[in-house]
Amino acid sequence: MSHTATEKMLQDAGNVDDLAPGDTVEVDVDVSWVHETQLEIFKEKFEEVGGEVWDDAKCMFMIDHFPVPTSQEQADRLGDLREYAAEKGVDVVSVGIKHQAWRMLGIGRPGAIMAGPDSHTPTAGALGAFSTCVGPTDTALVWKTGRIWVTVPETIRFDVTGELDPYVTVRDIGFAILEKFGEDTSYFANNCTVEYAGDTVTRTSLDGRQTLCNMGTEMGVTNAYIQPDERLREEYLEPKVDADYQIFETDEDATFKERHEIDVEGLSPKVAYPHSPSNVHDVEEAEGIEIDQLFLGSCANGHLEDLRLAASILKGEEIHPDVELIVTPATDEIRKQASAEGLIDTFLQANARVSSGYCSVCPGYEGILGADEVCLSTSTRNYRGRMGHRNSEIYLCSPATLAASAIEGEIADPREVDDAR
Amino acid sequence: MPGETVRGLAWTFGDDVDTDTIIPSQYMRKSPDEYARHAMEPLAPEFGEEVGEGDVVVAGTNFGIGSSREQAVIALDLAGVGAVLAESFARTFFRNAINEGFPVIEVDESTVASIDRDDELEVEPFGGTIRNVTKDETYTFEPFDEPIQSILEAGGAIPYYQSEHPE
Repeated sequence: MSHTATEKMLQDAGNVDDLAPGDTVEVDVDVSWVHETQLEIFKEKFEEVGGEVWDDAKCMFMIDHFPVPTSQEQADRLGDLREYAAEKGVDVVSVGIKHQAWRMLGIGRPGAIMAGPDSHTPTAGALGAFSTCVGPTDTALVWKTGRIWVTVPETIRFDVTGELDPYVTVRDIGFAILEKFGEDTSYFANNCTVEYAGDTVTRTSLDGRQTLCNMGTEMGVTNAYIQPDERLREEYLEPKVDADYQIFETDEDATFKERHEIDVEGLSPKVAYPHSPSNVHDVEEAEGIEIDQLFLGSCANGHLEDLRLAASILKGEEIHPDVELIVTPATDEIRKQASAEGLIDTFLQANARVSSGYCSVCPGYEGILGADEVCLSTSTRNYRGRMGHRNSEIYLCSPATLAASAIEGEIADPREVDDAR
Repeated sequence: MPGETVRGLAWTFGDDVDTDTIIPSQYMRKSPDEYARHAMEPLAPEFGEEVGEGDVVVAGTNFGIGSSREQAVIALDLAGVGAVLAESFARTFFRNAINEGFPVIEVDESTVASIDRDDELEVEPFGGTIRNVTKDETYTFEPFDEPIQSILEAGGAIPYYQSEHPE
Protein backbone atom coordinates (compact mmCIF):
# COMPACT_ATOMS: atom_id res chain seq x y z
CA MET A 1 0.00 0.00 0.00
CA SER A 2 1.37 3.42 -0.90
CA HIS A 3 1.20 6.17 1.64
CA THR A 4 2.07 9.79 2.18
CA ALA A 5 4.69 10.72 4.75
CA THR A 6 1.92 12.07 7.00
CA GLU A 7 0.01 8.78 6.90
CA LYS A 8 3.22 6.91 7.71
CA MET A 9 4.01 9.17 10.67
CA LEU A 10 0.49 8.65 12.06
CA GLN A 11 0.68 4.89 11.47
CA ASP A 12 3.96 4.75 13.33
CA ALA A 13 2.81 6.94 16.23
CA GLY A 14 -0.55 5.22 16.43
CA ASN A 15 0.91 1.75 16.12
CA VAL A 16 -1.49 0.81 13.33
CA ASP A 17 -1.01 -0.30 9.72
CA ASP A 18 -2.49 1.17 6.64
CA LEU A 19 -4.35 4.37 7.49
CA ALA A 20 -6.49 6.15 4.94
CA PRO A 21 -7.71 9.76 4.91
CA GLY A 22 -10.80 10.11 7.07
CA ASP A 23 -9.72 7.41 9.54
CA THR A 24 -9.42 8.45 13.17
CA VAL A 25 -6.25 7.42 15.00
CA GLU A 26 -4.95 8.00 18.48
CA VAL A 27 -1.23 8.78 18.48
CA ASP A 28 1.55 9.20 21.01
CA VAL A 29 2.68 12.81 21.30
CA ASP A 30 6.37 13.76 21.34
CA VAL A 31 6.15 17.51 21.85
CA SER A 32 3.44 19.63 23.47
CA TRP A 33 3.34 23.09 25.03
CA VAL A 34 1.19 25.82 26.51
CA HIS A 35 1.88 29.51 26.01
CA GLU A 36 0.68 32.51 27.92
CA THR A 37 -2.57 33.29 26.09
CA GLN A 38 -3.94 29.77 26.55
CA LEU A 39 -2.70 29.24 30.10
CA GLU A 40 -5.92 29.90 32.03
CA ILE A 41 -8.14 27.62 30.03
CA PHE A 42 -5.47 24.91 29.98
CA LYS A 43 -4.87 25.14 33.73
CA GLU A 44 -8.56 24.86 34.57
CA LYS A 45 -9.05 21.81 32.36
CA PHE A 46 -5.77 20.13 33.29
CA GLU A 47 -6.48 20.41 37.00
CA GLU A 48 -9.95 18.92 36.43
CA VAL A 49 -8.27 15.74 35.17
CA GLY A 50 -5.75 15.57 38.00
CA GLY A 51 -2.95 17.85 36.79
CA GLU A 52 -0.28 15.14 36.55
CA VAL A 53 2.07 15.66 33.62
CA TRP A 54 2.56 12.46 31.59
CA ASP A 55 6.21 13.21 30.72
CA ASP A 56 7.87 16.48 31.67
CA ALA A 57 10.60 15.91 29.07
CA LYS A 58 8.04 16.12 26.26
CA CYS A 59 6.28 19.34 27.14
CA MET A 60 7.08 22.92 28.02
CA PHE A 61 5.52 26.23 28.89
CA MET A 62 6.36 28.97 26.44
CA ILE A 63 6.34 32.76 26.50
CA ASP A 64 6.20 34.27 23.03
CA HIS A 65 3.12 36.43 22.63
CA PHE A 66 4.03 39.16 25.12
CA PRO A 67 7.48 38.48 26.62
CA VAL A 68 7.77 42.13 27.62
CA PRO A 69 4.43 42.81 29.34
CA THR A 70 2.83 46.21 28.77
CA SER A 71 -0.11 45.87 31.14
CA GLN A 72 -0.75 44.65 34.68
CA GLU A 73 -2.84 41.76 33.34
CA GLN A 74 -0.04 40.62 31.06
CA ALA A 75 2.50 40.85 33.87
CA ASP A 76 0.21 38.87 36.17
CA ARG A 77 -0.36 36.25 33.48
CA LEU A 78 3.39 35.70 33.03
CA GLY A 79 3.77 35.46 36.81
CA ASP A 80 1.01 32.82 36.89
CA LEU A 81 2.70 30.90 34.09
CA ARG A 82 6.07 30.80 35.80
CA GLU A 83 4.51 29.81 39.11
CA TYR A 84 2.44 27.04 37.55
CA ALA A 85 5.42 25.74 35.57
CA ALA A 86 7.49 25.55 38.74
CA GLU A 87 4.66 23.70 40.49
CA LYS A 88 4.52 21.14 37.68
CA GLY A 89 8.28 20.79 37.30
CA VAL A 90 8.09 21.77 33.63
CA ASP A 91 10.52 24.12 31.86
CA VAL A 92 9.60 27.60 30.69
CA VAL A 93 10.98 28.41 27.24
CA SER A 94 11.14 32.08 26.40
CA VAL A 95 13.62 32.43 23.55
CA GLY A 96 11.40 33.43 20.67
CA ILE A 97 8.29 32.66 18.66
CA LYS A 98 7.74 28.98 19.34
CA HIS A 99 7.93 27.84 15.68
CA GLN A 100 11.40 29.30 15.27
CA ALA A 101 12.33 28.45 18.88
CA TRP A 102 11.78 24.76 18.15
CA ARG A 103 14.32 25.00 15.35
CA MET A 104 16.70 27.02 17.49
CA LEU A 105 16.54 24.33 20.19
CA GLY A 106 16.51 21.27 17.94
CA ILE A 107 13.06 20.23 19.16
CA GLY A 108 11.19 20.10 15.83
CA ARG A 109 12.39 17.00 14.06
CA PRO A 110 11.38 14.39 11.45
CA GLY A 111 8.71 11.99 12.60
CA ALA A 112 7.95 13.88 15.80
CA ILE A 113 4.26 14.22 16.66
CA MET A 114 3.79 17.80 17.84
CA ALA A 115 0.38 18.89 19.14
CA GLY A 116 -0.64 21.95 21.08
CA PRO A 117 -2.41 25.30 20.93
CA ASP A 118 -1.06 27.67 18.32
CA SER A 119 -2.50 27.94 14.86
CA HIS A 120 0.93 28.17 13.18
CA THR A 121 2.08 24.82 14.54
CA PRO A 122 2.17 23.44 10.94
CA THR A 123 5.39 25.47 10.48
CA ALA A 124 7.41 22.57 11.93
CA GLY A 125 6.44 20.44 8.93
CA ALA A 126 9.47 22.08 7.32
CA LEU A 127 11.57 20.07 9.77
CA GLY A 128 9.77 16.84 8.82
CA ALA A 129 7.47 16.64 11.84
CA PHE A 130 3.73 15.92 11.99
CA SER A 131 2.88 19.20 13.65
CA THR A 132 -0.75 20.15 14.23
CA CYS A 133 -2.78 22.67 16.18
CA VAL A 134 -5.30 21.67 18.87
CA GLY A 135 -6.92 23.91 21.47
CA PRO A 136 -6.12 24.14 25.20
CA THR A 137 -8.74 21.60 26.30
CA ASP A 138 -7.32 19.03 23.89
CA THR A 139 -3.87 20.01 25.14
CA ALA A 140 -4.91 19.34 28.75
CA LEU A 141 -5.82 15.81 27.73
CA VAL A 142 -2.50 15.44 25.89
CA TRP A 143 -0.60 16.48 29.01
CA LYS A 144 -2.62 13.95 31.04
CA THR A 145 -2.50 10.98 28.66
CA GLY A 146 0.39 11.67 26.28
CA ARG A 147 -1.93 10.96 23.35
CA ILE A 148 -4.21 12.82 20.94
CA TRP A 149 -6.81 11.64 18.45
CA VAL A 150 -6.57 13.01 14.94
CA THR A 151 -8.44 12.50 11.69
CA VAL A 152 -6.04 11.41 8.95
CA PRO A 153 -5.92 14.25 6.43
CA GLU A 154 -6.01 14.03 2.65
CA THR A 155 -2.95 15.53 1.00
CA ILE A 156 -2.75 18.41 -1.46
CA ARG A 157 0.63 18.31 -3.13
CA PHE A 158 2.35 21.32 -4.72
CA ASP A 159 5.29 20.60 -7.05
CA VAL A 160 7.10 23.94 -7.31
CA THR A 161 9.54 24.54 -10.17
CA GLY A 162 11.45 27.46 -11.64
CA GLU A 163 13.73 30.21 -10.43
CA LEU A 164 12.46 33.27 -8.57
CA ASP A 165 13.45 36.64 -10.00
CA PRO A 166 15.43 39.04 -7.77
CA TYR A 167 13.26 40.54 -5.00
CA VAL A 168 10.62 37.87 -5.53
CA THR A 169 10.55 35.58 -2.51
CA VAL A 170 9.22 32.31 -1.14
CA ARG A 171 6.51 34.36 0.65
CA ASP A 172 5.27 35.40 -2.79
CA ILE A 173 5.01 31.72 -3.81
CA GLY A 174 2.66 31.14 -0.88
CA PHE A 175 0.62 34.20 -1.86
CA ALA A 176 0.41 32.94 -5.44
CA ILE A 177 -0.98 29.64 -4.19
CA LEU A 178 -3.53 31.42 -1.97
CA GLU A 179 -4.46 33.63 -4.92
CA LYS A 180 -4.98 30.73 -7.29
CA PHE A 181 -6.75 28.26 -5.01
CA GLY A 182 -8.18 30.52 -2.36
CA GLU A 183 -10.66 32.45 -4.44
CA ASP A 184 -13.81 31.17 -2.72
CA THR A 185 -12.20 30.76 0.67
CA SER A 186 -8.63 31.02 1.90
CA TYR A 187 -9.28 27.70 3.71
CA PHE A 188 -9.21 25.65 0.50
CA ALA A 189 -7.01 23.09 2.30
CA ASN A 190 -9.27 22.74 5.36
CA ASN A 191 -8.51 19.42 7.11
CA CYS A 192 -5.75 18.57 4.60
CA THR A 193 -1.99 18.11 4.60
CA VAL A 194 -0.25 20.52 2.25
CA GLU A 195 2.97 19.00 0.95
CA TYR A 196 5.50 21.13 -0.94
CA ALA A 197 8.07 19.53 -3.27
CA GLY A 198 9.90 20.24 -6.51
CA ASP A 199 13.25 21.74 -7.49
CA THR A 200 12.38 25.21 -6.21
CA VAL A 201 11.69 23.79 -2.77
CA THR A 202 14.89 21.75 -2.85
CA ARG A 203 16.80 24.99 -3.50
CA THR A 204 14.89 26.87 -0.78
CA SER A 205 16.62 27.55 2.52
CA LEU A 206 15.28 26.24 5.82
CA ASP A 207 14.02 29.75 6.59
CA GLY A 208 12.06 29.74 3.35
CA ARG A 209 10.71 26.24 3.98
CA GLN A 210 9.36 27.41 7.34
CA THR A 211 7.68 30.34 5.58
CA LEU A 212 5.96 27.95 3.15
CA CYS A 213 4.75 25.55 5.85
CA ASN A 214 3.67 28.50 7.99
CA MET A 215 1.46 29.76 5.17
CA GLY A 216 -0.32 26.41 5.16
CA THR A 217 -2.11 27.61 8.28
CA GLU A 218 -3.96 30.30 6.35
CA MET A 219 -4.92 27.60 3.82
CA GLY A 220 -6.61 25.71 6.66
CA VAL A 221 -4.24 22.73 6.87
CA THR A 222 -4.13 20.07 9.56
CA ASN A 223 -0.36 19.95 8.91
CA ALA A 224 2.19 20.92 6.27
CA TYR A 225 5.17 18.88 5.08
CA ILE A 226 8.45 19.25 3.21
CA GLN A 227 10.51 16.11 2.71
CA PRO A 228 13.67 16.09 4.89
CA ASP A 229 16.68 16.09 2.57
CA GLU A 230 20.44 16.62 2.50
CA ARG A 231 20.13 20.31 3.29
CA LEU A 232 17.98 19.64 6.36
CA ARG A 233 20.46 16.97 7.47
CA GLU A 234 23.57 19.14 7.02
CA GLU A 235 22.20 22.45 8.27
CA TYR A 236 19.94 21.23 11.04
CA LEU A 237 19.75 17.55 11.99
CA GLU A 238 23.47 16.97 12.33
CA PRO A 239 24.46 20.18 14.10
CA LYS A 240 21.32 20.83 16.15
CA VAL A 241 19.17 17.78 16.87
CA ASP A 242 20.11 15.50 19.75
CA ALA A 243 16.77 13.75 20.20
CA ASP A 244 15.78 10.70 18.19
CA TYR A 245 14.13 11.28 14.86
CA GLN A 246 12.86 9.20 11.98
CA ILE A 247 12.52 10.37 8.39
CA PHE A 248 9.39 9.29 6.51
CA GLU A 249 8.93 9.64 2.78
CA THR A 250 5.84 10.02 0.66
CA ASP A 251 5.66 7.11 -1.79
CA GLU A 252 5.98 7.94 -5.48
CA ASP A 253 2.54 6.50 -6.18
CA ALA A 254 0.77 7.80 -3.05
CA THR A 255 -2.78 9.03 -3.53
CA PHE A 256 -3.28 12.76 -3.32
CA LYS A 257 -6.56 14.63 -3.09
CA GLU A 258 -5.07 17.13 -5.55
CA ARG A 259 -1.66 17.59 -7.14
CA HIS A 260 -0.62 20.89 -8.71
CA GLU A 261 2.43 22.17 -10.55
CA ILE A 262 3.44 25.68 -9.55
CA ASP A 263 5.86 27.37 -11.95
CA VAL A 264 7.44 30.43 -10.36
CA GLU A 265 9.15 31.78 -13.49
CA GLY A 266 8.12 35.41 -13.89
CA LEU A 267 6.25 35.48 -10.58
CA SER A 268 5.54 39.02 -9.35
CA PRO A 269 5.80 40.15 -5.77
CA LYS A 270 2.33 39.96 -4.24
CA VAL A 271 0.25 41.79 -1.67
CA ALA A 272 -2.69 40.37 0.30
CA TYR A 273 -5.31 43.07 0.76
CA PRO A 274 -7.61 43.47 3.77
CA HIS A 275 -9.19 41.42 5.26
CA SER A 276 -8.07 38.00 3.98
CA PRO A 277 -4.74 36.27 3.29
CA SER A 278 -6.15 35.06 -0.02
CA ASN A 279 -7.25 38.52 -1.22
CA VAL A 280 -4.03 38.61 -3.22
CA HIS A 281 -3.02 41.13 -5.88
CA ASP A 282 0.17 41.74 -7.84
CA VAL A 283 2.36 44.44 -6.31
CA GLU A 284 2.00 46.51 -9.49
CA GLU A 285 -1.68 46.98 -8.63
CA ALA A 286 -0.91 47.86 -5.03
CA GLU A 287 1.70 50.51 -5.75
CA GLY A 288 0.84 53.83 -4.15
CA ILE A 289 -1.50 52.50 -1.45
CA GLU A 290 -1.00 54.70 1.59
CA ILE A 291 0.34 53.20 4.81
CA ASP A 292 0.97 54.41 8.35
CA GLN A 293 2.93 51.53 9.87
CA LEU A 294 5.08 48.68 8.60
CA PHE A 295 6.03 45.46 10.39
CA LEU A 296 8.92 43.13 9.55
CA GLY A 297 8.73 39.94 11.59
CA SER A 298 6.39 37.11 12.71
CA CYS A 299 6.65 33.34 12.39
CA ALA A 300 6.10 33.79 8.63
CA ASN A 301 8.99 36.16 7.92
CA GLY A 302 10.98 36.90 11.08
CA HIS A 303 13.93 34.74 10.01
CA LEU A 304 17.55 35.84 9.56
CA GLU A 305 17.25 35.59 5.79
CA ASP A 306 14.18 37.85 5.83
CA LEU A 307 16.02 40.46 7.88
CA ARG A 308 19.04 40.22 5.56
CA LEU A 309 16.90 40.83 2.50
CA ALA A 310 15.10 43.80 4.02
CA ALA A 311 18.38 45.24 5.32
CA SER A 312 19.99 44.94 1.90
CA ILE A 313 17.30 47.25 0.53
CA LEU A 314 17.30 49.63 3.51
CA LYS A 315 21.07 49.93 3.79
CA GLY A 316 22.13 53.56 3.62
CA GLU A 317 18.50 54.67 3.35
CA GLU A 318 16.00 56.19 5.73
CA ILE A 319 12.37 55.19 5.92
CA HIS A 320 9.84 57.75 4.75
CA PRO A 321 9.21 60.36 7.47
CA ASP A 322 5.45 59.74 7.48
CA VAL A 323 5.64 56.04 8.40
CA GLU A 324 6.78 53.88 11.30
CA LEU A 325 8.69 50.63 10.76
CA ILE A 326 8.83 48.03 13.53
CA VAL A 327 11.32 45.16 13.13
CA THR A 328 11.02 42.12 15.41
CA PRO A 329 13.38 39.17 14.85
CA ALA A 330 11.57 35.91 15.61
CA THR A 331 14.05 34.67 18.24
CA ASP A 332 16.86 35.87 20.51
CA GLU A 333 19.32 33.89 18.39
CA ILE A 334 18.16 35.53 15.17
CA ARG A 335 18.32 38.96 16.80
CA LYS A 336 21.90 38.34 17.92
CA GLN A 337 22.94 36.95 14.54
CA ALA A 338 21.34 39.93 12.84
CA SER A 339 23.25 42.23 15.16
CA ALA A 340 26.54 40.47 14.48
CA GLU A 341 25.96 40.99 10.75
CA GLY A 342 25.22 44.69 11.18
CA LEU A 343 21.57 44.31 10.16
CA ILE A 344 20.15 45.78 13.38
CA ASP A 345 22.31 48.82 12.86
CA THR A 346 21.03 49.18 9.31
CA PHE A 347 17.46 49.18 10.65
CA LEU A 348 18.28 51.67 13.40
CA GLN A 349 20.10 54.02 11.03
CA ALA A 350 17.07 53.87 8.77
CA ASN A 351 14.92 55.12 11.74
CA ALA A 352 13.18 51.81 12.26
CA ARG A 353 12.10 50.66 15.72
CA VAL A 354 13.61 47.30 16.67
CA SER A 355 11.67 45.13 19.13
CA SER A 356 12.35 41.93 21.02
CA GLY A 357 8.63 41.20 21.47
CA TYR A 358 8.61 37.97 19.38
CA CYS A 359 4.95 37.76 18.20
CA SER A 360 4.88 41.52 18.64
CA VAL A 361 2.79 43.46 16.10
CA CYS A 362 1.26 40.44 14.34
CA PRO A 363 -1.55 39.66 16.80
CA GLY A 364 -1.81 43.21 18.12
CA TYR A 365 0.47 43.12 21.16
CA GLU A 366 2.62 46.02 19.91
CA GLY A 367 2.10 48.72 17.32
CA ILE A 368 -1.65 48.65 17.81
CA LEU A 369 -3.57 50.41 15.05
CA GLY A 370 -6.05 53.22 15.58
CA ALA A 371 -9.18 53.88 13.55
CA ASP A 372 -8.52 54.09 9.82
CA GLU A 373 -4.82 53.32 10.20
CA VAL A 374 -3.10 51.02 7.71
CA CYS A 375 -0.28 48.56 8.39
CA LEU A 376 1.81 46.81 5.74
CA SER A 377 3.19 43.66 7.31
CA THR A 378 5.12 40.44 6.72
CA SER A 379 2.97 38.81 9.39
CA THR A 380 0.67 35.86 8.95
CA ARG A 381 -2.91 37.12 8.85
CA ASN A 382 -4.82 40.28 8.08
CA TYR A 383 -8.29 39.60 9.49
CA ARG A 384 -10.34 42.66 10.43
CA GLY A 385 -9.37 44.13 13.79
CA ARG A 386 -6.41 41.82 14.32
CA MET A 387 -3.99 44.65 15.02
CA GLY A 388 -6.42 47.08 16.66
CA HIS A 389 -9.42 49.13 15.65
CA ARG A 390 -12.07 47.41 13.58
CA ASN A 391 -11.67 50.13 10.95
CA SER A 392 -7.91 49.63 10.65
CA GLU A 393 -6.47 47.68 7.71
CA ILE A 394 -3.64 45.21 7.23
CA TYR A 395 -1.90 44.45 3.94
CA LEU A 396 0.48 41.46 3.87
CA CYS A 397 3.65 41.21 1.78
CA SER A 398 7.21 39.84 1.60
CA PRO A 399 10.26 41.33 3.39
CA ALA A 400 11.52 42.81 0.10
CA THR A 401 8.23 44.54 -0.69
CA LEU A 402 8.10 45.72 2.90
CA ALA A 403 11.56 47.33 2.84
CA ALA A 404 10.91 49.08 -0.47
CA SER A 405 7.58 50.37 0.81
CA ALA A 406 9.17 51.69 3.99
CA ILE A 407 11.45 53.88 1.91
CA GLU A 408 8.66 55.13 -0.35
CA GLY A 409 6.13 55.61 2.45
CA GLU A 410 3.52 53.73 0.41
CA ILE A 411 3.25 50.24 -1.07
CA ALA A 412 6.08 49.92 -3.60
CA ASP A 413 7.54 47.33 -5.96
CA PRO A 414 10.91 46.20 -4.57
CA ARG A 415 12.21 45.49 -8.09
CA GLU A 416 11.85 49.17 -8.97
CA VAL A 417 12.95 50.74 -5.71
CA ASP A 418 16.24 48.93 -5.55
CA ASP A 419 17.02 49.26 -9.28
CA ALA A 420 16.51 53.00 -9.06
CA ARG A 421 19.33 53.40 -6.53
CA MET B 1 -28.04 21.01 30.07
CA PRO B 2 -26.52 19.20 27.10
CA GLY B 3 -28.99 18.64 24.33
CA GLU B 4 -31.50 21.12 25.67
CA THR B 5 -33.61 22.97 23.08
CA VAL B 6 -31.98 26.25 22.06
CA ARG B 7 -34.55 29.05 21.64
CA GLY B 8 -33.69 32.52 20.42
CA LEU B 9 -33.13 34.89 17.56
CA ALA B 10 -30.88 34.34 14.58
CA TRP B 11 -27.75 36.42 13.96
CA THR B 12 -26.63 35.88 10.38
CA PHE B 13 -23.09 36.14 9.05
CA GLY B 14 -21.28 35.19 5.85
CA ASP B 15 -18.34 32.93 5.02
CA ASP B 16 -14.92 32.73 6.67
CA VAL B 17 -15.85 34.40 9.97
CA ASP B 18 -12.50 34.41 11.75
CA THR B 19 -11.38 34.21 15.36
CA ASP B 20 -10.01 37.78 15.36
CA THR B 21 -13.62 38.81 14.75
CA ILE B 22 -15.18 36.36 17.19
CA ILE B 23 -12.87 37.55 19.98
CA PRO B 24 -10.24 40.26 19.31
CA SER B 25 -7.01 39.46 21.16
CA GLN B 26 -6.90 42.79 22.98
CA TYR B 27 -9.93 41.69 25.03
CA MET B 28 -8.59 38.28 25.93
CA ARG B 29 -6.69 39.77 28.86
CA LYS B 30 -10.04 40.35 30.58
CA SER B 31 -12.07 37.79 32.49
CA PRO B 32 -14.31 35.56 30.36
CA ASP B 33 -17.52 37.34 31.39
CA GLU B 34 -15.93 40.63 30.37
CA TYR B 35 -14.42 39.52 27.09
CA ALA B 36 -17.67 37.85 26.10
CA ARG B 37 -19.18 41.34 25.85
CA HIS B 38 -16.86 41.99 22.89
CA ALA B 39 -17.75 38.89 20.89
CA MET B 40 -18.10 39.56 17.14
CA GLU B 41 -17.23 43.24 17.68
CA PRO B 42 -15.24 43.91 14.46
CA LEU B 43 -18.15 42.66 12.33
CA ALA B 44 -21.11 43.50 14.57
CA PRO B 45 -20.28 46.05 17.29
CA GLU B 46 -23.84 45.83 18.67
CA PHE B 47 -23.62 42.05 19.21
CA GLY B 48 -22.24 42.19 22.75
CA GLU B 49 -25.02 44.50 23.94
CA GLU B 50 -27.94 43.02 22.06
CA VAL B 51 -27.40 39.26 21.93
CA GLY B 52 -29.93 37.37 24.01
CA GLU B 53 -29.78 34.09 25.91
CA GLY B 54 -30.41 31.24 23.49
CA ASP B 55 -29.74 33.27 20.35
CA VAL B 56 -28.30 31.36 17.40
CA VAL B 57 -25.39 32.35 15.17
CA VAL B 58 -26.01 31.31 11.55
CA ALA B 59 -23.08 31.45 9.16
CA GLY B 60 -21.74 30.24 5.81
CA THR B 61 -18.58 28.23 5.19
CA ASN B 62 -15.50 27.88 7.38
CA PHE B 63 -16.83 29.51 10.53
CA GLY B 64 -14.02 30.05 13.02
CA ILE B 65 -10.94 30.25 10.79
CA GLY B 66 -7.69 31.56 12.24
CA SER B 67 -6.38 31.10 15.74
CA SER B 68 -6.71 28.18 18.12
CA ARG B 69 -8.01 30.55 20.79
CA GLU B 70 -10.65 28.57 22.68
CA GLN B 71 -11.81 31.96 24.00
CA ALA B 72 -13.71 32.27 20.71
CA VAL B 73 -16.04 29.46 21.78
CA ILE B 74 -16.23 30.65 25.39
CA ALA B 75 -17.01 34.21 24.30
CA LEU B 76 -19.99 33.08 22.24
CA ASP B 77 -21.16 30.72 24.97
CA LEU B 78 -20.98 33.29 27.77
CA ALA B 79 -22.52 35.97 25.56
CA GLY B 80 -25.58 33.72 25.56
CA VAL B 81 -25.34 32.07 22.14
CA GLY B 82 -26.97 28.64 22.36
CA ALA B 83 -25.64 27.13 19.14
CA VAL B 84 -23.79 27.99 15.93
CA LEU B 85 -25.25 26.73 12.67
CA ALA B 86 -22.89 26.89 9.69
CA GLU B 87 -22.28 25.28 6.30
CA SER B 88 -18.86 24.25 7.57
CA PHE B 89 -16.45 24.93 10.41
CA ALA B 90 -12.70 25.46 10.64
CA ARG B 91 -11.09 22.36 12.15
CA THR B 92 -9.63 23.76 15.37
CA PHE B 93 -12.69 25.90 16.19
CA PHE B 94 -14.91 22.84 15.71
CA ARG B 95 -12.79 20.68 18.02
CA ASN B 96 -12.64 23.47 20.62
CA ALA B 97 -16.42 23.89 20.55
CA ILE B 98 -17.11 20.18 21.01
CA ASN B 99 -14.51 20.08 23.78
CA GLU B 100 -16.41 22.89 25.51
CA GLY B 101 -19.72 21.06 25.07
CA PHE B 102 -20.94 23.82 22.78
CA PRO B 103 -23.25 22.79 19.90
CA VAL B 104 -21.67 23.49 16.51
CA ILE B 105 -24.01 22.17 13.86
CA GLU B 106 -23.25 21.70 10.18
CA VAL B 107 -26.27 22.56 8.05
CA ASP B 108 -27.06 22.74 4.33
CA GLU B 109 -26.49 25.86 2.26
CA SER B 110 -30.27 26.00 1.69
CA THR B 111 -30.91 26.10 5.44
CA VAL B 112 -28.52 29.02 5.88
CA ALA B 113 -30.10 30.81 2.94
CA SER B 114 -33.59 30.39 4.44
CA ILE B 115 -32.80 32.04 7.77
CA ASP B 116 -32.84 35.82 8.15
CA ARG B 117 -31.55 37.99 10.95
CA ASP B 118 -33.92 38.06 13.93
CA ASP B 119 -35.88 34.98 12.82
CA GLU B 120 -37.03 33.13 15.92
CA LEU B 121 -35.45 29.68 15.97
CA GLU B 122 -35.82 26.49 18.03
CA VAL B 123 -32.84 24.17 17.65
CA GLU B 124 -32.79 20.54 18.88
CA PRO B 125 -29.04 19.78 18.96
CA PHE B 126 -29.55 16.02 19.50
CA GLY B 127 -32.84 15.83 17.64
CA GLY B 128 -31.50 16.95 14.29
CA THR B 129 -34.10 19.66 13.69
CA ILE B 130 -34.33 23.42 13.52
CA ARG B 131 -37.74 25.10 13.67
CA ASN B 132 -37.97 28.57 12.16
CA VAL B 133 -40.94 29.91 14.14
CA THR B 134 -41.00 33.22 12.26
CA LYS B 135 -41.21 31.59 8.84
CA ASP B 136 -43.05 28.43 9.92
CA GLU B 137 -40.34 26.21 8.37
CA THR B 138 -38.39 23.22 9.65
CA TYR B 139 -34.87 22.23 8.61
CA THR B 140 -32.98 19.05 9.43
CA PHE B 141 -29.33 18.15 9.92
CA GLU B 142 -27.23 14.98 10.30
CA PRO B 143 -26.78 13.66 13.82
CA PHE B 144 -23.32 13.92 15.36
CA ASP B 145 -20.82 11.07 14.86
CA GLU B 146 -19.31 9.30 17.82
CA PRO B 147 -17.43 10.22 19.95
CA ILE B 148 -18.70 13.77 19.34
CA GLN B 149 -22.27 12.91 20.39
CA SER B 150 -21.02 11.35 23.64
CA ILE B 151 -18.67 14.25 24.32
CA LEU B 152 -21.53 16.74 23.89
CA GLU B 153 -23.85 14.61 26.05
CA ALA B 154 -21.23 14.62 28.78
CA GLY B 155 -20.93 18.41 28.54
CA GLY B 156 -17.46 18.54 26.96
CA ALA B 157 -14.17 16.69 26.62
CA ILE B 158 -13.16 16.88 30.26
CA PRO B 159 -16.41 15.51 31.76
CA TYR B 160 -16.37 12.90 28.98
CA TYR B 161 -12.83 11.87 29.88
CA GLN B 162 -13.72 11.76 33.57
CA SER B 163 -16.73 9.54 32.90
CA GLU B 164 -14.56 7.17 30.86
CA HIS B 165 -11.83 7.12 33.52
CA PRO B 166 -13.50 7.15 36.92
CA GLU B 167 -10.95 7.72 39.68
